[in-house]
Amino acid sequence: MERRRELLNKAMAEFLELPGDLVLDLPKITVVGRNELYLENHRGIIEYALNRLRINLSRGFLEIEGEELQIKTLMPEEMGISGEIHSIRFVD
Amino acid sequence: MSNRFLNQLAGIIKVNLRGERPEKIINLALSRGIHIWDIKKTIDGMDMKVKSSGFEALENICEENNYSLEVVKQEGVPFLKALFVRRLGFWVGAVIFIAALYFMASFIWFIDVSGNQKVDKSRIIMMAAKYGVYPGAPRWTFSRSEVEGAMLRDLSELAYVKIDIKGVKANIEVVEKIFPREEISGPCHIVAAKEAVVEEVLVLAGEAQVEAGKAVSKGEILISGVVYPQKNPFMEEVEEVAEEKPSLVRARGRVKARVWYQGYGECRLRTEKMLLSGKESSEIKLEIGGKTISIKKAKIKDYDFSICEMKEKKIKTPLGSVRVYKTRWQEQRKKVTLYSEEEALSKAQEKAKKNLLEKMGKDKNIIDQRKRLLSSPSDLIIRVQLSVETIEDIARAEPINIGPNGN
Repeated sequence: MERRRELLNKAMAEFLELPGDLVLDLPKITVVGRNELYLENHRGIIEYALNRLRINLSRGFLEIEGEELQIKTLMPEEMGISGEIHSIRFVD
Repeated sequence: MSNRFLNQLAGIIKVNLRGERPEKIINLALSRGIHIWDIKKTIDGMDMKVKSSGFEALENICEENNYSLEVVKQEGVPFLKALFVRRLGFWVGAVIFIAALYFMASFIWFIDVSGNQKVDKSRIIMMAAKYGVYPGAPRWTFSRSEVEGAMLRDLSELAYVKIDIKGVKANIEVVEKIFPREEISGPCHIVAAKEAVVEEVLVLAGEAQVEAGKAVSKGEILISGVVYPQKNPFMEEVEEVAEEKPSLVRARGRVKARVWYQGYGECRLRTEKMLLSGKESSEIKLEIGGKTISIKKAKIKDYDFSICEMKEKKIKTPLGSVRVYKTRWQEQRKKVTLYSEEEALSKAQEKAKKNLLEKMGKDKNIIDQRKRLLSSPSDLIIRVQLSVETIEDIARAEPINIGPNGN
């Protein structure tokens, strides 16, 4: 049921040409260089260590690997991460 | 995004969160709207920053879930007060220092006088002090323009006074009046300025009393200002009845005369002089309340000759007076100079010439010059006399005394 609604929403958004991050609560990631990352529409932190950061998303989670990772800002919808980022990976 | 400046204003608390899985607390804080930033994992927990307004809520969350929360650092305006209170002495001191500096700067500490030529500096300073401008005078006790006005009134020799105050220094700038030369307007004689033999007399007004070749002494009347009417050879003796009353005039004229000057100089064949060798030694003693403390001791080596100089200074303090004695010895050495006769003669001549110029002054019309050796050949000293003959104007105006005792 949930899955079907999601697909419908996605089809609607595509049909109406609306951005997914606004309509579907999809994460929006902005990476500046190798040291800064901004993430919108997150659902909290699952795990935080200096070399690995896992962030919950509306579907699945995001895994960031790197060194000296630090959460610069943390707000209900938005967060900023700094540190040397090696990889960004979506995990279901 | 939160404003960093506003955060500083509201106060920021840096905390250290400890416990298993601190991410849980972060998520809880996030869901309750507590703004957290600068999260960093450390060896024993997690450091993060939170606004002082959200700190209490975060603390509650931690308590509910059995996590420990420790304040690491407090930043921002509200915590400056604590800093201020902790260093109260320092701040009070700083304020007192600035206040004292400001207070001291509102006094005059130095006075300088410029522009004076004839009027004594001390007189100007004394007069300024009388009207309130003296070292140590508070600036608010006098008005510059009033002091300037009062000084102008009291020192009639001054044409202009300006008091310029720069910081703690008062610069008194003055301009002196230039008075016209005193001219004798009444009747006067022309008298001899010095002893001389008259060479030439030119009378412009008055009656000549001397003629060429006469030796005159200082002060003798050369041209008289008292003129007796002369009989007119072309007039018949009609007005003989009229009284022969002398008239007084301002005598004018030029009297050229020969004047002699003499200069003397001598030089010993052997001279002994005491010169400072440069070696010296000094001693400083303090006398406080009847006790004498030696600050520096003298280390006199065998001086054959020396000058001893003693200085005493008294310093008055609120706790009593302190006397400082300074003694200084300077070694002297005898220096013997030997001159040959020619050398001594030229030295003596030089001295004589110098002596002569002092008496005579410069720019004189010299017509004759003579040199005379006064000492005999066997003497140990050479004495020289220089004589000079000049021709100059010896006329000097002198008012005629017309008083009860005058002539």
